[in-house]
Amino acid sequence: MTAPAGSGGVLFEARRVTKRYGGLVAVSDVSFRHAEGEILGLIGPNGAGKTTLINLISGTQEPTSGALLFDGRPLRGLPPYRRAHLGIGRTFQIMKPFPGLSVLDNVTAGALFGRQPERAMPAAREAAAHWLEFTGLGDKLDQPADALGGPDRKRLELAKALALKPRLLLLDEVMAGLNAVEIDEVVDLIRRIRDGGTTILVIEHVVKAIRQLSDRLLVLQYGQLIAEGTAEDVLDDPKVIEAYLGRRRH
Amino acid sequence: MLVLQVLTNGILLGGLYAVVALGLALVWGVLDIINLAHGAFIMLGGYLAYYLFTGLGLDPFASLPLVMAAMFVVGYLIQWGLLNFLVRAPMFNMLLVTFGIDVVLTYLAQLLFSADLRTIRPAYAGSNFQFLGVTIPWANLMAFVVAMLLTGLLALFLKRQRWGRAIRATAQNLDAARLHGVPPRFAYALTFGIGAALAGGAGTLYGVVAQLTPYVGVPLTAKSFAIAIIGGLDNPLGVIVGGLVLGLAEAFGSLWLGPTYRDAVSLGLLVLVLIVRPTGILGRTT
Amino acid sequence: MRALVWVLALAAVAALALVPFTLSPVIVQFGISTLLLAVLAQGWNIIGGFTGYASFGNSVFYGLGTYGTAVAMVQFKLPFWLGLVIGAGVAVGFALVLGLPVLRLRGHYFAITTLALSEAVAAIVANLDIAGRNTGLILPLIRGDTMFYELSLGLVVLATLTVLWLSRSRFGFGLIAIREREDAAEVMGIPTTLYKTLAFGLAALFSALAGGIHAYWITFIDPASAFDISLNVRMIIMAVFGGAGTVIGPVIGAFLLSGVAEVLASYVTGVASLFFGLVIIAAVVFTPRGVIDAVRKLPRRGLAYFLDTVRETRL
Repeated sequence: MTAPAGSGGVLFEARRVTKRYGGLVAVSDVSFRHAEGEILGLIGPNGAGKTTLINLISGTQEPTSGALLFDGRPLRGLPPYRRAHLGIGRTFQIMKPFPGLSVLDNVTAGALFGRQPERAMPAAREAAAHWLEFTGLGDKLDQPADALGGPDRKRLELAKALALKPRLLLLDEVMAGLNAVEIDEVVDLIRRIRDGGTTILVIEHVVKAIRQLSDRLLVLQYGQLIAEGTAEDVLDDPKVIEAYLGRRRH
Repeated sequence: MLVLQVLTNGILLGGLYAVVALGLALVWGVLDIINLAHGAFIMLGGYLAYYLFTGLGLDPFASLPLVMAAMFVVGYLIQWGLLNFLVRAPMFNMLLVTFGIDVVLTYLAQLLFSADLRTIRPAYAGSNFQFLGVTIPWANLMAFVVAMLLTGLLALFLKRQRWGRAIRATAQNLDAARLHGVPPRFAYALTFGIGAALAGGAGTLYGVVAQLTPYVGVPLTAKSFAIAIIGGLDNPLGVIVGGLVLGLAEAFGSLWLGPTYRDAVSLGLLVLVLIVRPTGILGRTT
Repeated sequence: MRALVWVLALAAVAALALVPFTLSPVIVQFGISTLLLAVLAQGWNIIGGFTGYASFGNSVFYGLGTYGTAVAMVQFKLPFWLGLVIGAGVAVGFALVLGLPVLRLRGHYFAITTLALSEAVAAIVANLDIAGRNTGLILPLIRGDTMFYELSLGLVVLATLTVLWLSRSRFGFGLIAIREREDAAEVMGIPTTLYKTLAFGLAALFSALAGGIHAYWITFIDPASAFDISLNVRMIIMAVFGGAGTVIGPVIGAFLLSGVAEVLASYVTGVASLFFGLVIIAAVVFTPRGVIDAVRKLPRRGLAYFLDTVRETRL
């Protein structure tokens, strides 16, 4: 049923995934493999289809064609909540806390309904508190979630996803708007998450951070995968350079 | 030819239905306010026209502008003085408040006008003419024409006139409305006033072709929803489509299933549309 | 603190249970109506207050419960309790089956659809022979309001305990998450469609039982009264005025608003509906978050509370 843990086997695979809206192609014929325990970076100019790809993996949207395989099993037809149970967790670029609830309650939801969930409320709250400590929000448990400032909101998004005990964590621009110190903290946090056994896909614009974090990089442009490899290889690739410098506005 | 007669009845009814729903659709589409008192506004407009007719001898089609002006003021004041204070509250608060307004208006109407059935019967009411074997009552035809006129005028107003464009901008967002030089509170009150005015006009027409009681409000509000949704809220001309669809469905439903099923038909249709295509026939699919 | 609340609650229920033996029959009748409205308010609280799906058609479940019980008792000569079970079964079945398509809609569209649905069902029932068409049905007569009063009280207690359970359970937490942000709830592993539909079914259950009890009590039903649309608004305003999403709010709202309406009606006959309308308007403008919220915050903020609320909700 499950692949051997942490052995570096393929946890997730995309095969010729395409997403079309009417005439617009958001993701085009994308294929790649994501090994267990690997941190895979996903970069590309705005509008390249990165968030769409995450939506397809988390189940918020379904691909027009192609297959997504998690642990060898196809994800097509599985609603988002089933994918969460399997162990796919994600953060949202436009953050989506539960506005009327406290910080603790926000994360408790993940502990109650994720993979290997806690069934009892007190145990779930404890687990949630632990994840909030881990992401640095331990002193803000009872604050209303919508009262948090920008960087704290991101920590909350992260804690919510972590409470699901994900095997695959999809991070959508968690470093946007952070200063240098905060970025370093988040990089360290992500590394510790990986050390805990989680496989991570990171979308990021902050090149320094993505270079430090990623084992491998994928580059998307106009929905297509234009480069794949280690950070050094990819960032020196002339196609990639042109995509960023020579990009035209849609 | 029975089918042709039923078809004609359905179309005439549909035209009237379009203007009945117009005010509700405007306010809903632009302000995102569902006015449960819309039917009561129609009812009031009808009674106003009735008393102008019986008291001053004013033909309803002539008093139409007066009734609309009066109802505009009523609507404007309600939005300005009451509803503007609830715009950012949770959605059902607005539904409850407008329901409360409906209750109050219905009660006042019952008190002032009594529950007797009333119809506006000018000299030409009841006279028909024949066309291709179909009997067409003059009053219904005139109501249909006026209804189409009002709908067309509204569409033009929203497209061409400065205030009309500002109202449409308000539907997009409030800052855009400010850019047009129209403060949001005024834009809201203006829109709601126009919605009430249209309801008043519809009431006048309704009073001519049907019967008025203080209680016609709720069923008319319900019908207006159905029409607005079936036609789609994005386009003011959607009410024409919605009205025609409902009018024809009711006419043929009465023919095939019997008159007691008329409400079931229109409501069943509404439920179907809501489930299958909530944005309506002319609406954009998101 | 916890124990004190329980003791108070038990005392209140005991006091209420003693009403038929201590107070006048008029008050008992008022009590039955109010208690049944409180059940409806709690039912709405489950789908509207907790799950955030403001249904404007819960009256359909009330009506189905009414007719289910009545038809079972009149046409099939079944005992009352069985009639209640059948009425509840029909309503819950309806909720589960129609819940699936209808709960895919949000906000206004959901509200309108439920309203239209309840009107459509009413229109259909008015055409059914087995339901007595427009004339309605007459149920067997049973004397004595006490049984109905205690039944209604029991149902209110049951409904409130259910809501209490919701406020503490994993299922209820899921419903609240759905209300706060449904798409985020889904990616966090909450089976939104299943949960919404179950909540809808629960609301249907309580509404239907209230309808069944009312039918037998009143002994005469017809489509207009069984599927009365004003019930929808009344149950919502009571729940919202008391406090949507709280445990005891809807019950308090039901008692307060019914009490006010009764008092007004006895002083100024015939004007009850006028005042009812005005009360709704005032309640919505000044206490949009409910009495419980006001009670919690008034001591600290005083009259500024009302100014705050208006400032938050005005254009």
